[in-house]
Amino acid sequence: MNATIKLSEYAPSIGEEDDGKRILAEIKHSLLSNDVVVIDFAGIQTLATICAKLIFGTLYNELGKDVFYNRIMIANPTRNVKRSIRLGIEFSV
Amino acid sequence: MADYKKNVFMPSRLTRGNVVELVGALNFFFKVSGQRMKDLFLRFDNVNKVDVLGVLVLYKFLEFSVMHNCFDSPTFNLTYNKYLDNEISKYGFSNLIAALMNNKAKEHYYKNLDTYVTADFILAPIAILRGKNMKEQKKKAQKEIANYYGDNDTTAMILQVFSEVFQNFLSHAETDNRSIVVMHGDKQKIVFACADNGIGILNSMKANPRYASLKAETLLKKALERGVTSKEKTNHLGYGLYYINEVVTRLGGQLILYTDHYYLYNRSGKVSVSMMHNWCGTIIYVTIPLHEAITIDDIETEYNQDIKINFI
Repeated sequence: MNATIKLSEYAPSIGEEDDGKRILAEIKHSLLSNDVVVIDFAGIQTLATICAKLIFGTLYNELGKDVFYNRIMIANPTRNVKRSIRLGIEFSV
Repeated sequence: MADYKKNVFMPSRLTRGNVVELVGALNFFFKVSGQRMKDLFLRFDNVNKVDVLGVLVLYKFLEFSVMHNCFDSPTFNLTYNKYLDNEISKYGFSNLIAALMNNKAKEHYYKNLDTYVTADFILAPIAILRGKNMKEQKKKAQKEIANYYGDNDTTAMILQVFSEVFQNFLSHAETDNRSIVVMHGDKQKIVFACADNGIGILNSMKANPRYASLKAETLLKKALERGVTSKEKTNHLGYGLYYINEVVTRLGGQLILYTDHYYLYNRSGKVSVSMMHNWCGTIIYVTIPLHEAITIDDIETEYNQDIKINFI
């Protein structure tokens, strides 16, 4: 079963650590009952690096490389958001 | 108190180029904390040029004096200057300064700073504090930026700089929870200014043993490097100042960090550190020309191929 978490309520920017914590908690909760969680970045133009590390660095480390790839899908990221996510993970490993 | 003067004459220009002079004129405030000195007259008679950074620094001095009981009631007297009044109003600080002078409703006006947008001008003074009210104001400002600049890389760059400045001051001020970030811009350029009276970037950095022994000049330059942060083993990457510095360098803008007795100045990629009178806390000033946009993706051209991310 798949679930989609839409982040448009944070548009245009996810910039605060508190928001990062909230999003991470929502993803973790969703992972408990779904095989795949799709995180939809439609409308989001920037993801602060602190949030990128908090959300995706944490998930990557906790799930491991393969499970992270297989269970976390990222939809509609801008190239800027993609790069922020990469940075967040790279600075975590 | 040897440094205390009843009549303090302000520089004629309260602008980016004269911040060091302004700090020199008023930094005795930091030495009379709690002393309730009598009859201070701030003389603004000669002020004939003001910009957003000058207004912000002036406001933070006045606020410090009130919050730390530097002067007896009335806390300070300002000479009337119509030009200055108009400029303070233009940058959205009139009610804040009036509230400080009357020692009334300071919190109300601080928490209700508001974004102002016209066809060719955007101004967003935002209080940096925690809580729902702040989030709503910040989000409103972000949406106004996106509306004003459009759905493009310029907006992404501006929002990224805004987020990094905001988050840095929120996380690092520690002893000052009344920071204000101001954005002021048009389609050609944007200016960010933020000031606090916290522990300052040097003290913050020195809390990390890795940097504790570095000289101030070296440490300030170090703070601009990729991955350098006072808060290792947290979610901070040490990327915010690096990104801002890269943007400024590549686009021919300006980045100035004032803290303690030093200021670092990056002008179109040429970085220098000079001494100044003490500023208790940190001030950041960023000017970005908008003829081009530099996003994180433009800066980070390589990546770790071992990390697989399922973008769909």
